[in-house]
Amino acid sequence: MILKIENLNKSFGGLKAVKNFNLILNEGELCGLIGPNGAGKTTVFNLITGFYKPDSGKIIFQNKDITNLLPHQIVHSGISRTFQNIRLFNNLTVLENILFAFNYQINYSTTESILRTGNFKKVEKEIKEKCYQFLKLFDLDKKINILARNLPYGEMRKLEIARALALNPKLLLLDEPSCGMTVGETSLLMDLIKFIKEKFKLTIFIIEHQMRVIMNLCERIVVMDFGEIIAEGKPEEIQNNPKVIAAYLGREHAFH
Amino acid sequence: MINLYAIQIFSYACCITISALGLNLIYGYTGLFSLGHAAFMGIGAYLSALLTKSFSHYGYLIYIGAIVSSVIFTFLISYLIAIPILKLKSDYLGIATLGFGIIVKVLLDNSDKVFPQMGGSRGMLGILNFTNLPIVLFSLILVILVIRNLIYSKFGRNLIAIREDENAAYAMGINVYKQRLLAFALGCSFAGFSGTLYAHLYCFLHPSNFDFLRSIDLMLIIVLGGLGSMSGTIIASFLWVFILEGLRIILPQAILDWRLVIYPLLLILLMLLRPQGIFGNKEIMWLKKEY
Repeated sequence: MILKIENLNKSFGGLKAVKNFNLILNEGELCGLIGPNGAGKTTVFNLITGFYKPDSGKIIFQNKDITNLLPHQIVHSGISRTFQNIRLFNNLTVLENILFAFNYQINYSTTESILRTGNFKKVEKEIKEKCYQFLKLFDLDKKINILARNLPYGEMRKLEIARALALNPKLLLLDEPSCGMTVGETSLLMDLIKFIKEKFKLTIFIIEHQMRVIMNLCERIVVMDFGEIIAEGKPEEIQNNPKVIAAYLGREHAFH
Repeated sequence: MINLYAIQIFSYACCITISALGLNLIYGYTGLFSLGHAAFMGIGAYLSALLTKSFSHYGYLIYIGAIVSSVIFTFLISYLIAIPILKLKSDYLGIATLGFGIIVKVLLDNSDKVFPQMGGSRGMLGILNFTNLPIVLFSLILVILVIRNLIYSKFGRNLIAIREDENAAYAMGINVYKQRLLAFALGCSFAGFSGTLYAHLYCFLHPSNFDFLRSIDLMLIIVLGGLGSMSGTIIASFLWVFILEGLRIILPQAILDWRLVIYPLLLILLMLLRPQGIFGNKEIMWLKKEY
């Protein structure tokens, strides 16, 4: 068990975005979170990563209570994420995007950087080398000097995932990675997710709308509707679950 | 032709550059909209002038002491101010810093009630002339070096990340609030430094030298030079000082006041032709990126 969420609640004014949310993620698992628009999926991600404070409930990551930590502290404890609408540093190059993610691993002091000490130069050189290695892994090494905003869409997503991985997380949260992608790009993305899961020995929690992706990738699926979990299980169980079908296609009584 | 006047103008341009580089760190690199930068310059100027005037028998020793203490003092003051106001963002932060600038101006106007030697709205007279050309040049080069080394290190990259996308910066494990505080205080301490040099260059201080119009001048300079460009800030600072002074020499006495019309017109033209500033976010020579 890597992540445990107990009775998580969050309201925005009168709207209960997340109600009594309970979840356990096992180490090395690829778990999917699905649900109709506005079901509260992204809110759950924002709660886990500290972007929102929960009204009540507990989030325990690797036996450590992270419920009230700030976003940057949660990153340091080993959870990183991507965003639904890609958030790269658009005006910076591909290399810089990765370099910025390596920042928190750098341990020279500010004084050392002003004086350009030997240690500073050594660390900077190592970090840059690491960046090149990292970009090579994702086939982005030929584009290091291209501005992030000039990349094709699929590669933007790839860079965002690479950047999240540069933080060396144990748990990766992907918020609709295939959003806005063509069929071809989606297939590449699925290969990428399988590849990084093996390579980095990750636990992945993924929000997804495309059923093809979710049914292919996930070992377990959690379904949300109106802030609550309505079903949980293997892909084939979910596909035939009447509650899930009702949530996506409308309640049965709506047809009468 | 190098005469005293030219040297003084050049030294003044160096002071303005140091201050503008500080503001560039705050707004250009970190994206914090600050309209109170000149107030920090004033705090540094008045504090150091008070020190050198009170302990004038120590000579250059107290000058160095005054520089160090005004840099540290402006750092601390701006850090304390920033703790509450950096909870605000963009325009609201601008208004808050503007308010702070006005408070400082009013305090300086009435400073003679507490410290008679500060002169209040009559201005502070008889400050010793310690600042000379080698000192300002050395200071300017030192400041450029420090800022350049900071920007191309972990610290600067954190600031740029915050400017580019706050949420992404959080997701990169950056303590956004703390980095903003540090950037703001550091930028302001450069203003304090520049104020010290300025005070001992002209030997006369007046609160109106540090009112919000001066803050706007500094803001103009960094926007003109290109936000997030050290080269741009340096060039724009010098251009700004030299054009204002140059027009004073070129224009005949009768239409001298027109320089305040010509100069804004130049600004409008430049902004229309190059909205990203003279340099955009490019750098020249050894100010270029190391990666």
